[in-house]
Amino acid sequence: MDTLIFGGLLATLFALCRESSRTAVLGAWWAVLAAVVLLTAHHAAGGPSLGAGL
Amino acid sequence: MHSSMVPETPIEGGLLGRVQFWFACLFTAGWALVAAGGLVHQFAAGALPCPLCVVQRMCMLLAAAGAAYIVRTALMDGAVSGRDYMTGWGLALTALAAGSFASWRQAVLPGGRADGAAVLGLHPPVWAALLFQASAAAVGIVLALAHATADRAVPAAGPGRYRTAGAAALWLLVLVTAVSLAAVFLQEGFHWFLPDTPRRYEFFHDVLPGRLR
Repeated sequence: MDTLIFGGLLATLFALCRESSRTAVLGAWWAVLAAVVLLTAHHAAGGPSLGAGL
Repeated sequence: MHSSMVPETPIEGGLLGRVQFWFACLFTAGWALVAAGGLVHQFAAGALPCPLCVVQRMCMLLAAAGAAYIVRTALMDGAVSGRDYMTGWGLALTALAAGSFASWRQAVLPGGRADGAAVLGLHPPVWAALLFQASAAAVGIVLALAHATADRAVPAAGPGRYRTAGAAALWLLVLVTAVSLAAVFLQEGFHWFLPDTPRRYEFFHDVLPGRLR
């Protein structure tokens, strides 16, 4: 998943540099962020308990 | 319908308009270089980053991409509107918040702070948390002053040092992201997630015969 996220980020940056539409760039950025949040939730929940439901 | 408060054409470029452009370039290149520092440490010291370290690297590059959106707008249009200004810094702030959480989570993990040698008395995740917070404060200050800096012409649409600096910041970010992609692919191999305690480059373990690893 980490590899796919970096791939998505690189695609986002290429869209940004190639002057793609605003919608395409922002859509790709938010999609990558959503994937990062899911990955963070996976790792944050998988570590030792903090006593706060994390 | 246009409000009389919103100019239809960019205000003539002044010092403030140029300052916002240079700050966006500095922000983009700065976070790209911080992520590059992590890559140099990974390969020079042979230190494999933990999953939360990699998440923080993603957030750094996402925050840089927010500022890069502003730089790209200046390169394309020769001005940055208030809308694009707020969009770019809004993206950056969102990524900084995610990065702050990831670095805090790693710093409070038992043994998390020991992930990497201390630098000036602080461990890497603590430094990352401080940098995320300081950047968020800087972006907040820039947004608070946006009324004076947005809708300003920036001489970046044509050849010159503005365009060169903006393009250099963008391509530095692309380069660091490409190297990060290669590094994490080697580390993750053909698995969905990185192991909690990485000990090897999984790609070589998966692909190469045992005696060549």
